[in-house]
Amino acid sequence: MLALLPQLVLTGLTVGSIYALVALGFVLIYTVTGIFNFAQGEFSMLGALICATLLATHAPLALAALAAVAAVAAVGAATERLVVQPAFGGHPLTLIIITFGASMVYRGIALMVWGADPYALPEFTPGPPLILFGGVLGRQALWAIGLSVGVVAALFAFFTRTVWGAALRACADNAFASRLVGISPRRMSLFAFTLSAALGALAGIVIAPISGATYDMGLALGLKGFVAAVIGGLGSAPAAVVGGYAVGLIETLTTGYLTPGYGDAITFLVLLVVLFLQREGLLRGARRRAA
Amino acid sequence: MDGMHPLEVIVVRRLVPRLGVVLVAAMLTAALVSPGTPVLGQGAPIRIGVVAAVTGPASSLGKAEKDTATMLVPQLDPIGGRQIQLVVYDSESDPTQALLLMKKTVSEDNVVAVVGGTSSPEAQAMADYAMQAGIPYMSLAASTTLSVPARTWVFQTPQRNSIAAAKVAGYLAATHVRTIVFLYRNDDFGQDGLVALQTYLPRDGITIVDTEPFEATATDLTAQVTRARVHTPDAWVVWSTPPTASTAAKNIRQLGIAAPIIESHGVANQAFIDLAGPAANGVVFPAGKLLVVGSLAAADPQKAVLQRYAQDFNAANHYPANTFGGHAYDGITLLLAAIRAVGPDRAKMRDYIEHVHGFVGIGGVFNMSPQDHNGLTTNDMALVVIRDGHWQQWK
Repeated sequence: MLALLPQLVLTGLTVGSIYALVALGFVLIYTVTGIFNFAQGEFSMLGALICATLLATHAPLALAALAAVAAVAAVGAATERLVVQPAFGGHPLTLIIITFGASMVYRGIALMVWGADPYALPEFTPGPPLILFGGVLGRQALWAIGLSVGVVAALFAFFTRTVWGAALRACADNAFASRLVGISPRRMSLFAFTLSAALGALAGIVIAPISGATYDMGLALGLKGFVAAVIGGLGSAPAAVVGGYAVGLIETLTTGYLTPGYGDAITFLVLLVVLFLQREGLLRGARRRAA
Repeated sequence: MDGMHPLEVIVVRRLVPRLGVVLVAAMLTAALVSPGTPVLGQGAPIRIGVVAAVTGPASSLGKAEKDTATMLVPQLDPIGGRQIQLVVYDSESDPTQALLLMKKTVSEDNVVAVVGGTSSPEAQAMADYAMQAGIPYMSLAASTTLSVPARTWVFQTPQRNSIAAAKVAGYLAATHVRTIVFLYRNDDFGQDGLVALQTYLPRDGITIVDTEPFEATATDLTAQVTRARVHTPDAWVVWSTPPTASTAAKNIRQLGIAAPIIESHGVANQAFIDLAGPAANGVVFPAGKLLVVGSLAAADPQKAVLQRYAQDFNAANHYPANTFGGHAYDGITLLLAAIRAVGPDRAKMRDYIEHVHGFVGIGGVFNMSPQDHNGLTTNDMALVVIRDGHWQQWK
């Protein structure tokens, strides 16, 4: 039984790194605006499908990926301006339902544009996989893990070293006080949505060579990313990443050691346990928003 | 409904002289309210319901089924002066949805028969309803239990799992495989495939050393492959449809395993090759002869039919024809043959299809009987190998 462990852990880390990227998007928007953006998974779907379409026109992969990330960032910005912003100040539940609606619209549009067929993306750097501790790590998995770690490092530097990062943090800490010092929470909200959409798109593009890309892939990704964000406590970016890896590992280990059908069930069970134990933390977050 | 047919004819005959005008008005109203009701016959269209998984996990199969139905529409000549209509619905690969749509098409569209059920769980639900409602039903899914034992109203156009499994067993024995690992989708289709292989493999002295289930929505099967690889099997057999069938092949190769991969007839479409990428290379699977029509002998009874279907399909849809669309084609054309021969009467159509003999379709040459509502044999399947992204006949 122990012989399986290295492979299961490596696979768990790969899947987890994708969940981590999606969870980061959740946390970013939540801390700044107090909204759970349930269209987060759709950003990943759009990123993967747009990238696949651009690749079909023989664009180089790096260019296609960058263009797809940029396009989805624009979609994220548009979502904030046209869908979320007009309802600002409404009950948080209203805003959450609005993001749900947006996710359905994106899924519907994707179904019309790309159809129901799954699309395949080539691996970024094809080649033989790496052998680590008796487990196999595909090159695309390496990309996924590397990118998620890299993005977290970049975000950390951004939050601690730049004025924009500081402004975002200020807005997350206290929107009223940051307005007093001249930071526009509205602009920060727009910025958070744009950045989250870009992160989501990146996650979608990286996972597509492993899992394929379909119009309905966003739902599962978004849900797992949400669970990861909540397990991480919703407060900080590094915690969201830890949450992402935790969900990935739980899923793979249950599939490997128990039966595959239980993977999701156990993940949500862990979510419930965390919510019971961490109830205060979540409530505190909500109260802070209301203030 | 069929029981009412003669009764109403008698009533009409008796009343016409006296209440002519009233009756004509009543007939017109009835015709407007339910245009498909066979009772008032003349001129009303005859409808066939098609329920396919155009979206959802089984979409790479269901789309070809829907596209086949759409392609057939302009070719549908009126039968007995009545137009033929196909009413097509998307089940979203969901058994509940499939069942609801079947009920809807039977009760609201007044169809004379239903074709559909892309995946086996959908087809099982629809088959149960066909038995309740007493309506001819052509299943597009391959579970053996759909036609074994034979049920009055349920027919099956794909080669059932047990036929495909026998073909796979033959291949494994011919290539001197002694041990296999079986990866299967944990639903009616995969479990049914497992039962079928467990029947055939021991006869050839082949052992299944490990069985690994996975969900239809799984996107990574590395955990299952990892668990199974410790048994170092001679070959890997996968029983699913794309995308998971592709993921399995990909994951096996990604983990550096070089043993041969054999899949089920559920991978007989381009989507499998596109999604599996290089891992599709060398994969062997049993399939209807459509995929290798080019290399069939000129004397093959199916050759002309297969060529025409492939040409029509490619022209209409701009992607290569596959066996799944072929199952829909067989279902629809069998029903049309029945309507042509005995008229749009459910019971008579059923009896006709049950005794179809030598019907040349896409899935094979159908020889139905009261005991066999599939009517195909291993002779109707070819072993196909994928080389450089193309289908070739094995050997």
